[in-house]
Amino acid sequence: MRRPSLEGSVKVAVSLVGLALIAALTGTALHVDYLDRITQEKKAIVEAAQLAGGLSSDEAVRLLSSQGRRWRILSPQEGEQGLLVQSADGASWKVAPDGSTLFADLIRRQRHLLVVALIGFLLAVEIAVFLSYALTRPLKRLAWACGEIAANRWVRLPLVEGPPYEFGLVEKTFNDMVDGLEKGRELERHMARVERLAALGQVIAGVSHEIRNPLAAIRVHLDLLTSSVDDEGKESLSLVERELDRLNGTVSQLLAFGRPPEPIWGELPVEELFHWCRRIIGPSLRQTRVTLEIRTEWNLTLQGDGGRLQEMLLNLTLNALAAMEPEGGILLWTARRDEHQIRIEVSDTGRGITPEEANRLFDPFFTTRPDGTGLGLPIVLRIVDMHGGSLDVRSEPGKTSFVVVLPAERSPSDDPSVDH
Amino acid sequence: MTESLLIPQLIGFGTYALVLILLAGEAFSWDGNRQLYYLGDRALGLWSSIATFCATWMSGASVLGYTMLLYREGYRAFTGSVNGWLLGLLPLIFIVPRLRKSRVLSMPQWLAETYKDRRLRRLSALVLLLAYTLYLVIQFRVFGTVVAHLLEIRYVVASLMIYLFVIYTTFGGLPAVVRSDVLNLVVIVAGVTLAAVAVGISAGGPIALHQDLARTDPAALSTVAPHGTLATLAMMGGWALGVASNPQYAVRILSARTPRTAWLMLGLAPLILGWIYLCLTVIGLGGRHLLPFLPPMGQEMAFAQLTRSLLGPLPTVLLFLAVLAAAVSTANSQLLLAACAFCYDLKEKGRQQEAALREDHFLLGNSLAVAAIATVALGLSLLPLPTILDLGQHSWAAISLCFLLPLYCPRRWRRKGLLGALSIGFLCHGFLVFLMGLRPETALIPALIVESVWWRLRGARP
Repeated sequence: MRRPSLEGSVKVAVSLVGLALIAALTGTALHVDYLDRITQEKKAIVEAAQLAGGLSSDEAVRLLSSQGRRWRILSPQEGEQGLLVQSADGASWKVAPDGSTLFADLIRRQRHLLVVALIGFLLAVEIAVFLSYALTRPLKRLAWACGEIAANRWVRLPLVEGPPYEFGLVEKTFNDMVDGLEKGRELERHMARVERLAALGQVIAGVSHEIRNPLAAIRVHLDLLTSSVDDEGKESLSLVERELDRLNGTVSQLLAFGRPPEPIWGELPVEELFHWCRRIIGPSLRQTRVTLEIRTEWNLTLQGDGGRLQEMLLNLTLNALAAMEPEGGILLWTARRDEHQIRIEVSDTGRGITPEEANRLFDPFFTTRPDGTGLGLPIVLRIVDMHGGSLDVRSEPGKTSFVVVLPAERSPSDDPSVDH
Repeated sequence: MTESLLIPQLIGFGTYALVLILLAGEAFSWDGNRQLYYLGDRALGLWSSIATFCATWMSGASVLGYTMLLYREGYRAFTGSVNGWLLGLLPLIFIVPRLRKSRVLSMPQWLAETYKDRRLRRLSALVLLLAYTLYLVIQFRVFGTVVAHLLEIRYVVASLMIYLFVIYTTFGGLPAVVRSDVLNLVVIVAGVTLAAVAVGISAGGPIALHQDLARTDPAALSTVAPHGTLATLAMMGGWALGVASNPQYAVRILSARTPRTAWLMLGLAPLILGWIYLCLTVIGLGGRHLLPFLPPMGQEMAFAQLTRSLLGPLPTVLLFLAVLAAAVSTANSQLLLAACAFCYDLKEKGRQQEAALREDHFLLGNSLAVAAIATVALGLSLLPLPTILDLGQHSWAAISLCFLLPLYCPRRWRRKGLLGALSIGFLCHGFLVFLMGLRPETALIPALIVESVWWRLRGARP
């Protein structure tokens, strides 16, 4: 059985309280009025009895009857209470106020009071309905938001204007709690990723090293063989050489990921970074229908390993270009100074990233492209981490932005060349 | 009024008010949504459907107006009005499959989706909003007048009471309306039955009453209006078309649990309605026979005078309560439809919030619209507008012009350009009523013919 709702409870409570109040107020008003009337009538009976003492019985009857049904005229033998009225010629009656007639008369006179009481009661119940609405709706919003978070959707309560202070505080606290939880979850994910990367890096470095040594030996012997084979053999050896170079390149990339070389710190103007990257992707831009837009402030200079920063922008850009294939779109690079930080944003108008993809975006070897290695974004994240910056992703269908925030100035403690 | 009648009337009225308040249920259900609010989640059972159908059908104006029309004109009142109303119920049976097939929440939405023209939704919603606001004015007037007489209070105070009753029972949407309708139908049936029994006994039974009237007042037994059979048929047809196209009943068909429930509702409701009309006929004709001369006064006053003179305290109180219940039950249903037309069909904006929160916001808007529309109707009921009958006929005619043709037109007859046809229908009706001086119900049939012909001839094939 469904438990009673707050609205129902408030309504019943208000109805009962309203009824009790109305009954008490109108009852008191009617009772007091009734007692006053009885007192008045008794006083009038006493005066009539004094008058009747000097009248004949016929005149006394006429006098008593002139009050209509408000007085009950009884014979003296009747047991009911009443004032004994005696005429000059000795006839006597018992006279008492007629309670029921007086009450009916009272109701008639006080009917407006009763109607107003009923209207007040109706109004009270209707106010109770809105009161319970005002009380329950913030709870409903809260329940909805908790349900969403339980389903792993990080929603915030839309802050409405003018809620009571307490509800406003609850909603703000809830939103703060969600912010904190989300940051904690992000931190956990980040830590897990770092641990995974570290373990993976060690494995990759070991395996790459083991592969690289035989590759070097193969290369040396290949060079020796070249002089002792005919032309047909040379062609085959050249093919082997090319594939060997490719394999060597892949191993170098794996090694760079698994055991990154020490950074070489320096300065890199943002214009130079964008210029370099534009030259690299120029052929791709010409082949596709992608338009590059650049919005940057003047004289922005990044502090860090120039080569790594170039690699970072190139990886983000190649990802963006891949997301916009084959329809084309707009690739946007923006850079601006934000107090002590420099903010670089790479946006595309591609298909966007689903929430599931976003959760695994920086996992090594996770890729949505058949030709991808799944190392680009993990390398970007590592470079950003190396520079003490942060990386944020915002995506919706039709727009995705990777926002890199790097410190504008390096503190001496960041410099590995400084001996502590 | 005697004091002996005032106390039972106050007690009866207070009890009715209290039970109604407790029955109306939740206004803002936690799990509420618009389908629940407008159509009771399309899950009304047979008895709930019958109760809400009958209670909505019996308006305060029809209980009071029909009784007094019988008193003044005899059986011809039955031919002109009740015949028409009940005849209008028959075609409803045929639109059950058509309505149940769609998943709409309102009749304007049905119109727009069926005829693929969003302007139809706006137009018909506007017509419903205006017509039902006028209807509300009628109910407020009836209730206000009767309660003012009943309790010897000012008309404004009495009107304020129905205003509060009606908005309270409408806040919770159709579920609340249905719950209050169950109580209202019980009160209506009990009130008219007891009053009819009392009048019947005073008159020596229905058959003796008929025979006495045949002997002493043969004009009361005439079934044709003084203007002739054609005028009677026109009036009957006008009422029938009004009922057949009234969205109040279409909504009851939509809200029934299954098509079978809807058909059973339409099949069983006439039995209850027939009983109520039979009782009112006995009261009206009995009044004419037992109290043939009433001083000239408005029909609400005359009704109050007639019942007080004919009946004892208990039947009088119950009959008055029946009139009030009829007014409340019709008014809350009409108010809900007017709010639906305003909030759902005319005003709804794009989706900006999460679904659950948006729905809640929307329902709050509906409740506020209910209060606003009722306030406008209350204000209008205090103005010197035309008589109850005139207001009702204008509203019925507007609704018929808007819905009758699209509801009953066979599929193969359908054409594009319904909006143009409806506009021509309204123009023609306005011309006949306001320039030619015809009564709205008489002008309805020619206007409908013009509308259909225009649609048939000028509308392109779909």
